[in-house]
Amino acid sequence: MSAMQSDGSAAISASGLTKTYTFHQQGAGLASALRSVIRRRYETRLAVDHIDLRINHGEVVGLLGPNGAGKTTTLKMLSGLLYPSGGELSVLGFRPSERKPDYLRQIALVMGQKTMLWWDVPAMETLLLHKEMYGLDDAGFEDSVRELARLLDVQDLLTVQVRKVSLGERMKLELMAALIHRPRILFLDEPTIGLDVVAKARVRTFLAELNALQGTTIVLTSHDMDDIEALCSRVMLIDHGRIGYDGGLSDLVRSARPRKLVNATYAEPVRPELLAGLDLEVLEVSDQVLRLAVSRERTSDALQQLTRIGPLVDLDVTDTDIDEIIRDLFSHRRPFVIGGGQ
Amino acid sequence: MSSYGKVRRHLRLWRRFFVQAVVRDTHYRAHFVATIGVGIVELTMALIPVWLLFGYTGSVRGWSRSEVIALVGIYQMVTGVLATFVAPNLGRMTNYISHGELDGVLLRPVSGQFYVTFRWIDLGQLGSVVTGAVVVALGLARAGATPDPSDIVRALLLILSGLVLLTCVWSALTFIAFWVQVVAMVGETFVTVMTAGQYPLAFFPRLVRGFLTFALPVAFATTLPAQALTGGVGWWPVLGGLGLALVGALAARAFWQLGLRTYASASS
Amino acid sequence: MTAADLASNLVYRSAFVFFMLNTIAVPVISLLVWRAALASGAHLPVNREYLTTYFVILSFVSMATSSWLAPFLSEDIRLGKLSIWMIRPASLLHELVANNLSEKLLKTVILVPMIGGLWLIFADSVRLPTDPVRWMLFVPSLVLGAVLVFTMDVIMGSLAFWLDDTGGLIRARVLIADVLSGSIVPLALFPAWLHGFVTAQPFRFTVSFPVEILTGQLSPHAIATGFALQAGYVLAVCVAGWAVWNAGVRAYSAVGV
Repeated sequence: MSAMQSDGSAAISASGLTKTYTFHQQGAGLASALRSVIRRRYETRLAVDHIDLRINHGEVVGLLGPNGAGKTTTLKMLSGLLYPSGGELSVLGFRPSERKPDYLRQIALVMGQKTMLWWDVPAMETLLLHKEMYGLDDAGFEDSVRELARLLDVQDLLTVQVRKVSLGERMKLELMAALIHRPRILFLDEPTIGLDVVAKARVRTFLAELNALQGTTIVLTSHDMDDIEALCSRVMLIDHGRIGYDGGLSDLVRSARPRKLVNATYAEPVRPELLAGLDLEVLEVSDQVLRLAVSRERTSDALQQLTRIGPLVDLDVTDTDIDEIIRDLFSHRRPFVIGGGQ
Repeated sequence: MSSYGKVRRHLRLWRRFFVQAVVRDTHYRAHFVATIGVGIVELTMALIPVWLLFGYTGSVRGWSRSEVIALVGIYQMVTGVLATFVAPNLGRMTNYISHGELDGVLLRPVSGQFYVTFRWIDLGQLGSVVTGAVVVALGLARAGATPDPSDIVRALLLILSGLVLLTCVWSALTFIAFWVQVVAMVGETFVTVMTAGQYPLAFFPRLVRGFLTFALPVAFATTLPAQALTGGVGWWPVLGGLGLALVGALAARAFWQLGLRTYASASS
Repeated sequence: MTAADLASNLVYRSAFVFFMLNTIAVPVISLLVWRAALASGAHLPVNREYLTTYFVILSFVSMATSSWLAPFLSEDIRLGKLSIWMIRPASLLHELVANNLSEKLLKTVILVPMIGGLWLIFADSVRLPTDPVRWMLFVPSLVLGAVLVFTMDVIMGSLAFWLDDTGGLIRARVLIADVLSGSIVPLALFPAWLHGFVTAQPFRFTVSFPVEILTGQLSPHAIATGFALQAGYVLAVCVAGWAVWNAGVRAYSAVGV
């Protein structure tokens, strides 16, 4: 679903990229607090462990991994917020941590949890602020506003106070503010977190269109498989600061073979004899609810079997947790393809 | 980009901050009016100790009541300017540094320190500048002081250096948040100690005078300008003040950059 | 709850260095100014010993009776975080009091060496009373003063039930209270024609009255009248606070969360 217009030259290239950081430990409770007044205990943590990567212009790449995997840390290093502890990193020919204005003018970072809009004023005010910060001329600014407002469908929201706008719409305004200066690279950290299904879909469509129209390189982190699936044809799996997989998404899905979780609720308690006849993996049975794990290929077959057991009241089909998938992948130690797109 | 271009762009950015503050205050008029009201209460309360003091004597360490009243007026003007342009920002430093809001600022092609120090403006506090000016005029008139243009220029330059110095010391104190958590008390302490500035420097013992000139340099902002207006500072204090202001600005910048290095090395 | 509060307060240890400075700054500044006046030959109704003793005691008393909850309470009301508390206001009160007391305990510990330092610096003029009766009277006046400030603070914070922006009012009250409580200038230095007013007004009983008991300037009669007034004000403010709170909760619930 995403366009891949790689022109061969690397937008981002990193080798041996590492991040360790130290922090002090403090336990809970009065005794611990008193102790920390006298002496502090320091610990070091390896957040990113010698990562190599290469992203070309126009690619849409997803960094996928469980919480604490190092996705956000990597993204912060790529954008320039964090100094790497080791390794080489070059983005658009610059060293990001130097934060040169010429570099900063070409990138944008959006973090799903943190807003960069100002609450008490209409979004337009924030946009005007960005206009000054990036030194945009009037014509270019107006063009950009018009185009983004159209793509995001937020024309009517620009003059409304940001605090009065719903969460999903606010995310769109965030994206608009971030893109007003037409950056070449867009970094996104969990962009759809907390959004409802409809809002998520809209954001994904927009990002795909952006990449198609302006050739913006997009690097996004997520622990939502659907984000990655909808946008990226290339995905990097990160866990414990290491890239375990870097390649096409379809390959990953095939090799990971994540299963679907099905919750079936019936109008009356399920009769045990009927359960025996199922050739499905039942995880849990309680009274009127069946919980099963089903491989993607067998989903429709499974659903048919489920309807035959009794009168269905509710049916819920979800992906298995990404943490489970990743754990699965790493624990089975399958041979991975590292590097190169599809 | 040339230095001149950079300065121009930051001034244009500041102009946008100002315009936005006007837009916001026309919307939240109640807050604006309340701020002006509080400013008047503040000025009145500041004049009461002076009135009580000079009820018992005509002069303290060479300062007459009218001269001290003029000083209080200058103090109000100075704190008014700080409260308008600087205080709203320094109060937010913990949000920027400890809660990661600095991330949104650091990746913009503008000076992070400039943004963080001047972004927010509380226009209602400018009321204190006006009322303070009135009090200065009244005090000078009752003291029979007739400052000539050269005196006024000297006073303004001294006030300017005082403002720069106070801003630098105050921001440097808030930058401590880069290393130690929760320093909201810092700003409060600074403001409290600064209230010494509403009395002439001469009222204090030598050690305190030194502190108020070089550590928390409120002397340049209030006592010296007052003395200039009531007819009596040479050019040396003015040059000294300007020189110190430059040193202070450089030191504050260096401190900020040191803090940023720690910030960018620390974890998310 | 107090132990847990103490523990979390220890985390803010850096803040307390500045806290010490903040607490003694105003009394010290005022003290130095009035000593300068004396040195310049002013004929004050009080002497240097009185002034020094007054301000040294004041730096402790003003901390001991202080309250800081008003802006936080206002914000909680405005953000709608109070829904649970409105059903159980007793536990909100409990939490506010616990927070107040635990911080003060910590602040006292930190303040003691600071005041000791002041005592050393101004050793020649500090005259603390040795009469145990005065100390015994001091304690209840201090407690009542603290209750008075606390309840006034709750009322100021509760204004958020009706007003969007309470910051200005809260600050104005602090400014006026600073002067009228004797924190900036001892009430004894107010001109004679204002004597009746300053002695009777409620802010005197937040800080000045306990200090006056210790400095020994009050006759037994004055102490008795003082206590009567203080108790009366405490009662009145508590009743007002209770009424304001209930009215506020009613107004709040009417509009909805």
